[in-house]
Amino acid sequence: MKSAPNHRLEALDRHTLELLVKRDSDVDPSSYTDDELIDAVCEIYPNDVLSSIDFANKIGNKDTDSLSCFNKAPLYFNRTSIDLVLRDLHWCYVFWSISPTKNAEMLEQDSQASIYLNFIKKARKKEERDEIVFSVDVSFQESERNIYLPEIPSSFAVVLMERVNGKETMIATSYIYNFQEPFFLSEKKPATKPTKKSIKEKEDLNNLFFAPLVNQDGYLVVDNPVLDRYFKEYGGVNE
Amino acid sequence: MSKSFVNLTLNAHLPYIRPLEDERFLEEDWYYEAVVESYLPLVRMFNKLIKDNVSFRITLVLSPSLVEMMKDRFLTDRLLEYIDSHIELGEKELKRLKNEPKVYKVAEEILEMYKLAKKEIEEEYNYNILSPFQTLNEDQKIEIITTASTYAFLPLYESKPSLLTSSFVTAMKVHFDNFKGYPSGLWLPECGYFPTLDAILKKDVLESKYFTLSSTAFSFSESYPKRGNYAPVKTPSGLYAFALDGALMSFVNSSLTGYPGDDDYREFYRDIGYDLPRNYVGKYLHNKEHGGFTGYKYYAVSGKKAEKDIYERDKAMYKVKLHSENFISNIIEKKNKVQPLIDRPPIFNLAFDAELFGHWWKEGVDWLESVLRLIDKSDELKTVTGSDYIKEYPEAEVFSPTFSSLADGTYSYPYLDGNNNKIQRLIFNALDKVQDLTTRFRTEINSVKLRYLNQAVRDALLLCASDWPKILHNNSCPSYAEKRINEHLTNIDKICELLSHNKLETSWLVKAERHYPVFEGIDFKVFTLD
Repeated sequence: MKSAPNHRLEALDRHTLELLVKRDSDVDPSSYTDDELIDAVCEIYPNDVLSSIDFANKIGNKDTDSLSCFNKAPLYFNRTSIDLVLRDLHWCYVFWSISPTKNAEMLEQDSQASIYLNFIKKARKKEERDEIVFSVDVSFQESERNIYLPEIPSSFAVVLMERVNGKETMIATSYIYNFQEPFFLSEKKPATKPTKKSIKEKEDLNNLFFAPLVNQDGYLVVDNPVLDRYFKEYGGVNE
Repeated sequence: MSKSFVNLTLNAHLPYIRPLEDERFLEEDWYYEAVVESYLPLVRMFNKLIKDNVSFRITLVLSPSLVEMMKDRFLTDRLLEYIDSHIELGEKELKRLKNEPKVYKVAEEILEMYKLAKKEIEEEYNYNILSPFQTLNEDQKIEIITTASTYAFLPLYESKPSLLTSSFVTAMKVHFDNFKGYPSGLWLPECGYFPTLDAILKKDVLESKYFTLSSTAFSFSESYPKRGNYAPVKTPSGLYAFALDGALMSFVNSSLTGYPGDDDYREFYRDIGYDLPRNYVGKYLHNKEHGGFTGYKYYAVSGKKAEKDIYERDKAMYKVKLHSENFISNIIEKKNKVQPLIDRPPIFNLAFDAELFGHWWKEGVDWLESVLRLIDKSDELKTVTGSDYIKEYPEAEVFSPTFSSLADGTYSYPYLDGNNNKIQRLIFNALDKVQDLTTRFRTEINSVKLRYLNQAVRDALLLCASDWPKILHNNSCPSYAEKRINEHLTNIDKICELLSHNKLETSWLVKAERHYPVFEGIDFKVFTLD
């Protein structure tokens, strides 16, 4: 048996497990015990699939196979564009489209032509230049990516680039997001030096602030990466 | 000592759903259930408080989609058919239960609820569900405000200002036409906010002065306000922003520890539509094979027991008393902690879905009534609306709230999960098409073409309703969300094609306008590029 994230599977109801087995195999799992069902899911799906976000979504959305129209919907339109939407402070969803004409033109010029994404930190002052934070190679078959941003610049965009005959050119750019850094990730220094009293008051207020994220017994109820980071830097909320 | 403030907001929104005359589907029942079980009982409760001279202030968000449904006579007629069929079922139930007095009493109460709703709609409200809300608003007992026209989740559309503007301009018009003026405040769907939104709002929301955000909009910002989330701030554009108090709200909202899960309250999921033979209840169900909800629910939550106890109203009302007192004591406890830290009496901003009260949580309306009565009697607390507070304390710290929402995970996750994120590509493409079209034809004067352009914007707004990705995320009825997304995408494509080829099909246009007769005064020019 494969070592899979069984704890996640164990949390599922029988109906969902049966559905997962039936979806991607010819097996009839109706006579299986719960443990046999989990083993069967582990046999059918590779480990990396079981650990993926998509799989988690598949579990959470049992009926997604019925969403046929979105699976058949066009991935490309007759235009070249790129868009970015923020899912949270670290993950963004990027999707792009290259018009058939542009696609043909690139490959006609260079059969080895390729495309990639540049994440750009936009210059805030005239004398500064835009800065490439990182690049991601993508294939012509792709049209979307969920991208992890280790640090969100205060002003940024994603750019679709072509690499044709060694020459790199921008072919589409997204909306420029102006982002405010969360205070505890900010490198900015406070304008006035805080006093012991003001720190204490702010901490007290802040502890009450974060109360929305704790339950009546004082335990954290929200699994939030930003909050985790906050606690690493600032400690708990119930002192 | 000055009283501290409780700013209670009830948010009423449902997706705009309107069947064709020969259609009948499950999703239309959402509206009928909400009217009978939540909206009308809330009106009744507010009127009872007024009659008893209880002093209270409460904010009610009525989404433009819902306002359109409430005043739609066709939907009211369908609602009455729904009520009639539930009365018929109730009368059958009383015959069936004549030898079971405990259950009979519960069934009788439910039947009375349907009969009362029918009487009110026909005799008091003249078949217009909006009218009691208009009266309450005119009498200034409750403050009705609006939200984005189809409840689009705004952070997804930061790069689409035309959609944002048209959502608010349309909402303002609907509000003005129905409530004789512009709203004093604004509700952002799911409290979804991003830092440049306030400038767009300032431009489009006319007389609205405030909006409400998740507490993380303040606490995760670059700095945090000196009064925490216990006083509003002023955004750089000059609008007031209030932050919700999620901790207090969790006493009601938490699925694990919230009051609605108490053992003595009515169990929502046990319904005769699932419990009784199909040949008996089948007539009242959309899906005879799988069963469904009929509204006749006779059991109490009863903990984790397999055998549920029969619901007893007296026991539940005793819990209502305990829970409302507990809620008030928690607010006062928090007030005592916060008060010494800030320079004015704190305001506690609380918001709940209106449909929670009565529909999901049967005793919720009673609980709310009890809370409002307790606050009225309290020496320490007072209910206010956002605009009441601003009048009393116009000074506010200038502060930039950050990207945030009330959605799971604080940001946009439920709208961009592994499945529903795919629809953003289709939506963005459609929005760009509508923007191209409305900009190209901005000087058009042909009245039929103007109707086509208005229809394109109407479809764009309906397409962007946050309900569809949310339904896909929750997997609650994905095929209906899929159908609606497809319908609006197809309409937009069709309009682009017809106008581009200067080919007008009036019969198609009339059919499209009649199918979703919403936002009558919509003006496509709000979608054009400046």
